[in-house]
Amino acid sequence: MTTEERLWEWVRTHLAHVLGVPPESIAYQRALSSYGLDSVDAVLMAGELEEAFGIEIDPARFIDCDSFEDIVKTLAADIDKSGPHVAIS
Amino acid sequence: MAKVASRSWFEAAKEFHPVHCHYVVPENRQRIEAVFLLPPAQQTIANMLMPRNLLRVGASAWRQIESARRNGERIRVISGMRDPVARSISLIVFMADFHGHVSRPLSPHVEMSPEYIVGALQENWRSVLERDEPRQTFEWLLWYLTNGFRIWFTEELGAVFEVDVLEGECNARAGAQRVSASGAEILLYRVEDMLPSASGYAGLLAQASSFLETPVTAFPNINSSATRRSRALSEEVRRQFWLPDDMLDAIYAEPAVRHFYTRDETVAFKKRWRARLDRVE
Repeated sequence: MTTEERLWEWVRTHLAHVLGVPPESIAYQRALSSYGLDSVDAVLMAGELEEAFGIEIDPARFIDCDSFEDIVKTLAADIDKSGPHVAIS
Repeated sequence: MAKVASRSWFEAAKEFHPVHCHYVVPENRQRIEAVFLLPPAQQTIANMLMPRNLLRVGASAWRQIESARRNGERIRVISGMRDPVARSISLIVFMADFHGHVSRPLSPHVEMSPEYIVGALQENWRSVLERDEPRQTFEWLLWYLTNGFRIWFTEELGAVFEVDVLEGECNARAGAQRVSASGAEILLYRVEDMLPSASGYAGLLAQASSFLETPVTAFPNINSSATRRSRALSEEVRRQFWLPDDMLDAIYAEPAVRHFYTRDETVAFKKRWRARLDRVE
């Protein structure tokens, strides 16, 4: 499993739990807001994501992302390049 | 310092890749970090993302300032002041949303009531004015950030750039105050002047354009609280909040407040936040 796939699997499972829907119904190209979630949900998820993957996430960037794909690809690229504990800003 | 407005400034200045930071001085960051290392029983912040980010961004800003100084690069700083009571309401709702409290109803996981938030914020202000540091992390960080209006210009901005920004004159009609400091140029503004209806608005736009050397015709309307689910709650807290006269007198007598606001303006602030029966909305 690639880093991007692991991240997306985590995000999708997390969101499915929060929304009470099947993971398969969460689309990679859609944004958090399209599921009725706001910046508070984004920051809550980013906090758990940081701890799960040992990475550093800039909350503003996470909130402003256009889609899950956008943020997952960026995080994955940085993890693969520098390993965990890199700043993304 | 000015949470809501700073996103607008960030957007206005984004071609210069600004750093949006709060606490930069190593001793202040160490103090915050020490609190986050308190025993688990004192840890009341549910989501540590924002606190961790506060420290990371501060450390990054400090490294950038040191690097710029070594390389003789230009440093420009934009910093603002806002009515401390209005700011504290934004702050507690922001912290309840994004930090969350592990046991009190100050968390996005529970229904928050305006009455409870009003009481919690009154309790916080009492601790701030009595300089009585709370022992638990959520309460301590709220206390520390609220207290920022009193010390930020001296213990952060002044300490980093070796300048007493409260020494010069702040001409509200001019829209902003320019200060030259050790290797840096500083623009000081009042958040209230960012509203198009404010008397200082045109002056502030002119000062911003001059300072950033790029036309600033409006401040981007970036207010993340407007799209949050807590918006109505925040407005209700703002409507209900009040403080006793002695506490308002103490807040608005602080040197930093008196530097930025005229006597008439502080009187108006006090009228707004006094006990509800006779207050001016």
